[in-house]
Amino acid sequence: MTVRRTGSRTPVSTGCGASSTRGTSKPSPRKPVSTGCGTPSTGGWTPKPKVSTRSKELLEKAKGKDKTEKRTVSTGCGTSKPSTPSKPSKPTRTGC
Amino acid sequence: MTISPPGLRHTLRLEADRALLYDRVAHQYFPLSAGEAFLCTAAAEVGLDEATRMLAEKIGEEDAAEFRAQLEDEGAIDQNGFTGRLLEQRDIKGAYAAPLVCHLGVTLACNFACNHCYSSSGQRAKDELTLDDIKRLVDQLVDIGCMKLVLGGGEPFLRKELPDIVAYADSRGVDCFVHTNASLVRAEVLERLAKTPPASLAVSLDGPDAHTNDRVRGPRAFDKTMKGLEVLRAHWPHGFNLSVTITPENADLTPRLVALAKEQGAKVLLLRPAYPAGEAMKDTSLICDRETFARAIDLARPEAERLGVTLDAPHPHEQGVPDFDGFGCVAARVVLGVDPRGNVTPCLNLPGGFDSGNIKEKKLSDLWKKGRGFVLLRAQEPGPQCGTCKHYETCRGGCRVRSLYAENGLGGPDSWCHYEPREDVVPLKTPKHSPKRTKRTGAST
Repeated sequence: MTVRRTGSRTPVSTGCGASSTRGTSKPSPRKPVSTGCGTPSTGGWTPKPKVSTRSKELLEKAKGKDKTEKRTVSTGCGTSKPSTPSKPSKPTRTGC
Repeated sequence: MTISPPGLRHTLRLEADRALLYDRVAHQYFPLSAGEAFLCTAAAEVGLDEATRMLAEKIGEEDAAEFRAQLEDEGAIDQNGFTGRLLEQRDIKGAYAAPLVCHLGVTLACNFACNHCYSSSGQRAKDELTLDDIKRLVDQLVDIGCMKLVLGGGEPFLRKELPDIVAYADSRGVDCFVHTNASLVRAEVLERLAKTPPASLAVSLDGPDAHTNDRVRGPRAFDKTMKGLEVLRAHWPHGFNLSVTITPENADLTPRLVALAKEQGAKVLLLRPAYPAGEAMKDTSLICDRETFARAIDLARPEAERLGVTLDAPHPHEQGVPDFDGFGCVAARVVLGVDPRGNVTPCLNLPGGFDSGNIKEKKLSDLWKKGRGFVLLRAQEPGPQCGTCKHYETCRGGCRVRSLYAENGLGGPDSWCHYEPREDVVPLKTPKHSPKRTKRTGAST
């Protein structure tokens, strides 16, 4: 997967690769209880995580990058202009 | 920059239809897309990887990964979710759910007597807010997610607790922006202030020489401020801005003001127009019209470019339609003001009739939602000119102080407005205050 605009930053890891914990957990001495033929087995399965209603709403409204350009919020007549320059990629709008 | 305390770099304000991320490093609010806001909320619920996967299903892997990378780069999210403070807020029609900026007059006491002073400061009032009152105000700002506090006056350095106010706000995650005439800054107080420096220190100066400056700011004001700047250069490593209120008297002198800013070592030179408020109402020759302000900036720019001075001056010809999320004038919609006695108003430049209550008696959030002046401004309906202008949906008539001063009423146009009738209406034959020059794009220099 390619990540735009991140320049030299390491792409976001989405797999188990380098963050794998395989082999680090201590094996249990207990023998798992057999539950039969295996059809209801949870082998490797975990319940699908649920997000809150608020998160669901946000996900429904989510659009791709090209449709939602990030920008600064103007807060008025400029009296709160910081001494230190803001991020250059997000020009400050200060005027009213 | 050290963020104090840790973990308070970001505040995320979630309204029904918008999300704002305040970043204390940039001292800015950033609108987040729904997808970015989703990552902030869902990461804490299902983990960042799962939240990213869910978002990728909706908008594609590449965009989801980019949103995540941007937020991670800003330090806003990590594997455990959003790293800052998240606030769910109820919408208010025609305004943000809570103000983004609070302007606080910390005292009415002032050692200067500026002819354009919006607050008519001079003598300290007996019933000014105590330090505890101000701390309670800061607590309320934190509760509602208003993370920018502008400290003016009067002269803030006449308030001995100024460093305590800034330190307390900082400890709660609120950034302070101090406006001063610099005449009273001393090494000792700067040392106290430097323990938790404000986000900015802006020094007011209204002329490049004593003659011009003192005509507005009082006898010997120029010399006192120059001495203050000397102290700042010696004892204040955080830098300062110079802030000039443009009047018809100093508008043509901006190239010299740029040179002075360079000579004095200011980081930024801010130019702002004199508003029809306070003392300026007694000497209306000081009030700045649109073309005068435009000329001041046009004259300043070449010199600023030549000398490498950063100019912060919103050009009225280029700015055109202000983009305040369609709110127009920021009063009651984006900002509020609190005077030294605790009276809350949508804007400190507005006349007293808009005062909506006192923070010693009422909650700030209630005043923002239901205060008389706030409701009045938000209920504004367009008059004949604004109602036929193509810009009304975004500018909402512009500055209400100037509209009231021009006797255009709350529904009338800002005296700086440029009227451009919609194509589907019959244009007004005699629009008010509509300058001939209406081009809004392209540099004027």
